[in-house]
Amino acid sequence: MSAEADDAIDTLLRLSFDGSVEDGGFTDHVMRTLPRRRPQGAWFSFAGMIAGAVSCWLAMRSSPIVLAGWKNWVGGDSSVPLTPLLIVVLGLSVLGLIWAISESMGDDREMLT
Amino acid sequence: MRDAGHLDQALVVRAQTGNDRRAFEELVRRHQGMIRAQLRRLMHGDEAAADDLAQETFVLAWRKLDQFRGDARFSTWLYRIGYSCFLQSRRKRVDGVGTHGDAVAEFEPAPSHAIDLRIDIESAMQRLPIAEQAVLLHCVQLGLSHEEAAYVLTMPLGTVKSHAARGKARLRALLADWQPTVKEEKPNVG
Repeated sequence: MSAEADDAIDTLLRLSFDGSVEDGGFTDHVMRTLPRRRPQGAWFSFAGMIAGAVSCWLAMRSSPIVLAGWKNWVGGDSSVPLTPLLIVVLGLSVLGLIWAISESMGDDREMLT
Repeated sequence: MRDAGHLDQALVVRAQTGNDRRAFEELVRRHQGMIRAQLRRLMHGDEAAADDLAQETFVLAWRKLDQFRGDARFSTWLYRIGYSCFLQSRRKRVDGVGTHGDAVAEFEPAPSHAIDLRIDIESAMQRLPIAEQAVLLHCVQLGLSHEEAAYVLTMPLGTVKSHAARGKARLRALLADWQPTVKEEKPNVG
């Protein structure tokens, strides 16, 4: 195709384009519907996780069943105290997974840079 | 244009660091016209649906503003979000069709009886595959460079260039038979 023909097509396309749309209250409408920005989430979530883990450890470290379960887990022995410990770990993992999925559903456009 | 870019950058920084809604409002005011024009074209003139998508675009931009690093112009970044919103809405409407589904609007030569005064450049555009329509819209009508269009459409640069060339060739073939009519209506176009 010649450059001249290309230019003619470009001109036709530009002529058929109406260009920028008048505001007509659009901006005000958008500003009314803007959600509140979340507080800076990364450090907040991380600090919360650390605080939760430390509190959990402080609360449970004196419990003999937890210590026994932990020792058995590290030693690779299956035992009665290990079972509730594994259930708790599994339950917390599932809760974490559900939380992550619900967060990503509310924030589902990952392609943005 | 460079000044406009600097102003955008300054407004973005104010909106990012100070959570300044007024700065963001100014950005919306500056760019809403072209984003709405982009989406109206993509939605084939459905103004209400296009404006809903434009609103969604700006809400997303507000939420994702921290992710804007200034690698592209702010307007280009908004076009990209707008196109992403359009694709998402299209996926909801057209179940099971790919992102740049050429199957949606396969190119077919227009039957001769249809080539008459009623056919205009817009209907000729709609005969092109979706990807070619999108490339011509962004490169020619919105005035983006090929690189910027590749960023907006998330396509490789070579694909953008080939879609642009093929789209123009097809348009020329479609419009060839009724070009005299176009000349009659728009005497400056040659």
